[in-house]
Amino acid sequence: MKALVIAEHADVARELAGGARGLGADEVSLVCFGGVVDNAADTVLNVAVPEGALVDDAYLALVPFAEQSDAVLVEATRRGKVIAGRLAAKMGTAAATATVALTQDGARGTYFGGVAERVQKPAAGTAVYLVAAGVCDAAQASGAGEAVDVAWVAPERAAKATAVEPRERTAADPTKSDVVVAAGRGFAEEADLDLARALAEKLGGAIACSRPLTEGVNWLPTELYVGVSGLTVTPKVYVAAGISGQMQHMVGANRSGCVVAVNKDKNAPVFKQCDFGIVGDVKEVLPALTAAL
Amino acid sequence: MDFALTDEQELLLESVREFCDRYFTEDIVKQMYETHSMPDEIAEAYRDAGFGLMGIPEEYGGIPADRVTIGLMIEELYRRAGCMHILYQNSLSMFDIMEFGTEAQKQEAMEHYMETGWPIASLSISEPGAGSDNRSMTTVAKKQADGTYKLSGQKTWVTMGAVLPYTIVIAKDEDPSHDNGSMSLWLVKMDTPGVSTAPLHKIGQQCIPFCEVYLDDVVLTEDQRMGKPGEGFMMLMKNFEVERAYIVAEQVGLAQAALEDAAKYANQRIAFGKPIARLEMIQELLADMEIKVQNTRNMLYKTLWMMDEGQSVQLESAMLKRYGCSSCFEVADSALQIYAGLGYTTEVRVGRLWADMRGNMFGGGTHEIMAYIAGRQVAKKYAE
Amino acid sequence: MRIAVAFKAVPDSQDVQVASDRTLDFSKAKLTISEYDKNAIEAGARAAAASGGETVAVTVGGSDIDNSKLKKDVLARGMDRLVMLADDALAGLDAAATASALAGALSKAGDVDLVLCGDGSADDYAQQVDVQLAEKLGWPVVTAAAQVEVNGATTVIVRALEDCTETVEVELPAVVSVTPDAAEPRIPGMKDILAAGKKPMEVSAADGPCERALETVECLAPEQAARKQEIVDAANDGAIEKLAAAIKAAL
Repeated sequence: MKALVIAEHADVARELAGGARGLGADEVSLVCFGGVVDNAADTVLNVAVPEGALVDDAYLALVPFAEQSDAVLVEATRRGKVIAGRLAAKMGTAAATATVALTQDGARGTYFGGVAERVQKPAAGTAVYLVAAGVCDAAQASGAGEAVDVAWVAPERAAKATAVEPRERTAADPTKSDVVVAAGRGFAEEADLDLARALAEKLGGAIACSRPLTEGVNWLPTELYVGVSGLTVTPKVYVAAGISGQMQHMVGANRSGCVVAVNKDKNAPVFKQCDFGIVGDVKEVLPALTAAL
Repeated sequence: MDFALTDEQELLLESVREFCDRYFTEDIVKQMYETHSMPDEIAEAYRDAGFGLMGIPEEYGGIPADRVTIGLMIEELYRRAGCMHILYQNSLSMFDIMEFGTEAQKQEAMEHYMETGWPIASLSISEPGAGSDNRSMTTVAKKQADGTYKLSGQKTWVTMGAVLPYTIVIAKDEDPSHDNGSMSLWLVKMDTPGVSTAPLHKIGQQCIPFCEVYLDDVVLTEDQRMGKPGEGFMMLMKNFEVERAYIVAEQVGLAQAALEDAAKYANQRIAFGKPIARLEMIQELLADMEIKVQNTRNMLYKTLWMMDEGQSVQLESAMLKRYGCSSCFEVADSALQIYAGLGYTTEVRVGRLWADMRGNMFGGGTHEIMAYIAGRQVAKKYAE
Repeated sequence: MRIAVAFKAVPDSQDVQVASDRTLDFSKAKLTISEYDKNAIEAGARAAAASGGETVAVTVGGSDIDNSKLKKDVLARGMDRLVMLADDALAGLDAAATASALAGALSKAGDVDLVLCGDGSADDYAQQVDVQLAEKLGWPVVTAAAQVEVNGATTVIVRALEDCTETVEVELPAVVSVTPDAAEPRIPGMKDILAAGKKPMEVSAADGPCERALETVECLAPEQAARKQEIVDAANDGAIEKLAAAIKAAL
């Protein structure tokens, strides 16, 4: 079978290429809008995005490649979702979301904020999968990576990008760290977040947060938000500090190796979902823990 | 009999829940009890959602609403917030002004409310020597040779008295003696010479500050009077009935919050190897709590419905206040008992609810005066 | 200027229960407006207020969405009227089928300049209906809009993407989906609620059969990972040290 991989990040592109092999693809084409991906696919499609065009609109150039494929795996970024949606619509299908796993049975994704997991696959024709980072195994990726240039095809009425401001990644990426210290509403003031940063630094990890800290108060950027509509992280140690343990958050963390909870409310649901819990104020526990390590 | 709510009532309750969830967060509630206040932002949002305009006449920008609907709104405002905030009490003085005030007073009150989200005035009714026994009040307004009046006396338990710009004072006309039943309502500006306040400290309801108000030869002009001279007491009495019902709406909302907390805790707390909710003595407490909450609610909405129908509720409102406020307090007391030692700490809110609700057994008329009012009515009702 | 806001009616997630066989039980859950669609509704109401336009809410779903409370709820949030396709043939559609049905509903709404969508639905959260709808309409789509400013025929949008903030200009008509930050939903007051019942509501059946492209293989509550649940109080002697040791052991 033939697979097409579309990604924005080189490391995720490699994962998806591995995922395509896992689905049984013997011919993998890959396009990545962010960096070079060597030895991961049979063919690498080079799509140059013209100045002022949206990456989202690259779908039009990729339609013939998608139509020739049995499966299209797209990285589940905001732009990736537009590309996947457009390609699926062109082919009369809908993309299935794989936030948990992607196998030959279909795409396993969270449903209703993590209350359930749902496996979906297309009834017929080309399958389009939206795949989250961390779902597939990059180790399975292989291929000579023969380069093919693909000409840009502009939509009849395209939106124009007038400015792009890179968001500075001030912190380490929680999806790539062995330790994630996640902060929640238990932090009374923004300055207290330094306590979480100090612990993360001591452990060589990243900080993350639950939704309330990004929405409304804006204490942390949305890219650090773990949960159903944010990141899924799989560190060796996940420290949920001042996080109550709502399903919408925990679904993004419950595949971590060891979950540690710090909360002053001993009835917080997080204590039912952790390996080690400590009942206490983050303001006291975190500095003491940092010192004890 | 139809106990179902209309779509509109259900949507209103959803809005109230959305409002409470957004504004009465745990930290904010804690801060309100520590600082004896409520953030302006909440008063403004309450105004913007139109909750504070419910029951105010439409020509002044209000939203006409029946009393059953207002009662439902109040109950949910207190249940979902889980604290004794000021919001509903704010409306009481606004109702008095809109009902008895002069055109100029009404306009000023509405302008102030729309600008700030806070009512323009507190209510100065009780005195150190005259609570439920209103006749014993000694605050008096005497007419002067120049046509002005001089107001003297002392008022107490004036909720928000030191915070709001005006207070509505009930004072005897000319003669402070017990036999004089002629009283008037006055809208007094707090920064008038001769008006001063002294704080009082509460054991509950700390987020609603009250104070004493001293009135020393405060000069008033005729245009500060609300309603007709001599009828002040009758005017207050008229609104007492609906106010009592609304206090019970607050109380049953808080009782429901305490009941929900206690039942949840009883399901979690393990003693003797099982959740205490499986112990018969705890089950009896929970059953009686639910009965009291449901009974109070039934009496409350029946009474409000009767008012909406234009029926007299002299008996019903007194019975409701007497039964509802004490039974709901008993619910809080049982909730505290279920929590036991934990409930006696400030770690959980049940102790705070308990202290808040105790105050409603005399605020708005004591338990005892309600028996007096209701008892007379019952005797009259069955007299041959 | 006519702005349509597409929304989805979903069972209230707080009342979704997990049965003993791990299937989901929706029997106690009332229908409600999907949470993030409220942000789109608010953004639409504000954009229409700023440009003097009309707003129309559109939705498709099973016959149960023809629910008087749900309809009033949407109309109490700043929408001028409602176009709804309620038909059991439209229950549980995938993104492609939903978009086809929505395109049909939009054709009943009159000429529309802008279609706003929410960030993702409470049930699927696939973020696909906006794109599929744009493809059906042949319009541009701009997703992840944290700010939307309608200037005549052009709309300027600030997109909050994973690695960057992108400013985009798009000529109308277009489909735009907003993030929850774009507009905090209003809290409908009694006045809004009372007025809602008097606004036009157009409810009709599906235009034809709807084919589903995706099949659901399974949908079950996940089995909880067994966690040790060793809980200590911070005040206990050695609690911190014990925790530190546990973390070191896990690394």
